[in-house]
Amino acid sequence: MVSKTQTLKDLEDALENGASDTGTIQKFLRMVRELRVRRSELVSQHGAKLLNSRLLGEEERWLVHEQVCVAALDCQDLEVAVQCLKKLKAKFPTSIRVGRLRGMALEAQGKWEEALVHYEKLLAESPANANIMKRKVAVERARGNTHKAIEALNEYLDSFMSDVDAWAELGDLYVENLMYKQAAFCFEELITAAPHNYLNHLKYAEVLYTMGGAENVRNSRKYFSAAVDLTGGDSLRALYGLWTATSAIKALKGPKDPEDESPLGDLASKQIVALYKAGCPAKAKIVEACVEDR
Amino acid sequence: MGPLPKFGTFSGFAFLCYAAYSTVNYRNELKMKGVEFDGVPFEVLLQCILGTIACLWGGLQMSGELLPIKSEMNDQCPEQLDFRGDFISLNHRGICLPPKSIE
Repeated sequence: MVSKTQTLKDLEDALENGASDTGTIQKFLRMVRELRVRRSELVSQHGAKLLNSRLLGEEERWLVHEQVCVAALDCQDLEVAVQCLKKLKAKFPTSIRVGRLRGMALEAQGKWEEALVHYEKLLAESPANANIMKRKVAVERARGNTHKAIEALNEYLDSFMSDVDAWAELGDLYVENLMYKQAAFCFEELITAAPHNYLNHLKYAEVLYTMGGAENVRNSRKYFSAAVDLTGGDSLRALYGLWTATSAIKALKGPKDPEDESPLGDLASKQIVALYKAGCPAKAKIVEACVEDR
Repeated sequence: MGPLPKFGTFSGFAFLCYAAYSTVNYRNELKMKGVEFDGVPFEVLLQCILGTIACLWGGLQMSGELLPIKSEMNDQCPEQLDFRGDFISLNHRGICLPPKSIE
């Protein structure tokens, strides 16, 4: 069976090689919606042709309008975005969801203050709307007010504790602000919520390693190992992490742990070199010299 | 894979069928004697257990080698896993790029 990621990639290649029939575009937009990926350029470029297509059912038509609108705003293609927005506004005049798109249009033009005022107005109408609260966080982050973004996001998480995306965003914001302890807490939360997602383990390990200290580094090695395990040894980022963590443990002073002598570091460096030899033979020599036993 | 697992599964099912058959017979007998039914006899229980074990073993042998449970997320790159559509930021370097022309 072909994986969904592969299907998406095939459709993407077809579009980039000049395919422009509405069937392919429709399938592509569906995959993008389903896998929740950011392909704004392709979506806005080709999606605009699909807006009036007869292929779309009533429900999908408006989903596509919303999708193309966001993608167009992401690429600063304001003409297409305004076109979508007008149609959506005519169809759903009182909808908060359309209101959110209007706010995003303000954001795309750099009118942050106006966008915030607009979101406040929408929140007064429906105070429990999660999407609007998230936009407020995004506005603050986009302007560089990370502290305010953290505040807003904490407020949001007080009422929507099970939102995995929000925890991930908060973790990243804390890392940006060098607040590693708090970030570690967020990533712990994420690991319990989605233990099969290797990126959560990896980020948690990176935070632990960055914090430093014997215990944290030893723990980070465990989480790097979990990430390597989950990726089947295909992720260079996880392997490099494991290798640096084991090297750091070797250099630690103070009481030794029996686990410190594990061969994980050597295995990681071997796998790193193997991956480079397979994917980029020109650089394999340099990497080999770098990760060689120190 | 030899014929043994198939035979195991088959005989397991045969055991189970025979156990069902003998239970029905036993109940009929009890009805004729006018005794209350309060559980199956020990032989039938033994047949059930043996049949289940034989089916289980045969099925496991026939299904081939067991694979480790693996996360399917590792064909997705970190950028993809880390993208959160609800928090999408519109303030990025794309603003400075020339707009793409649509033919």
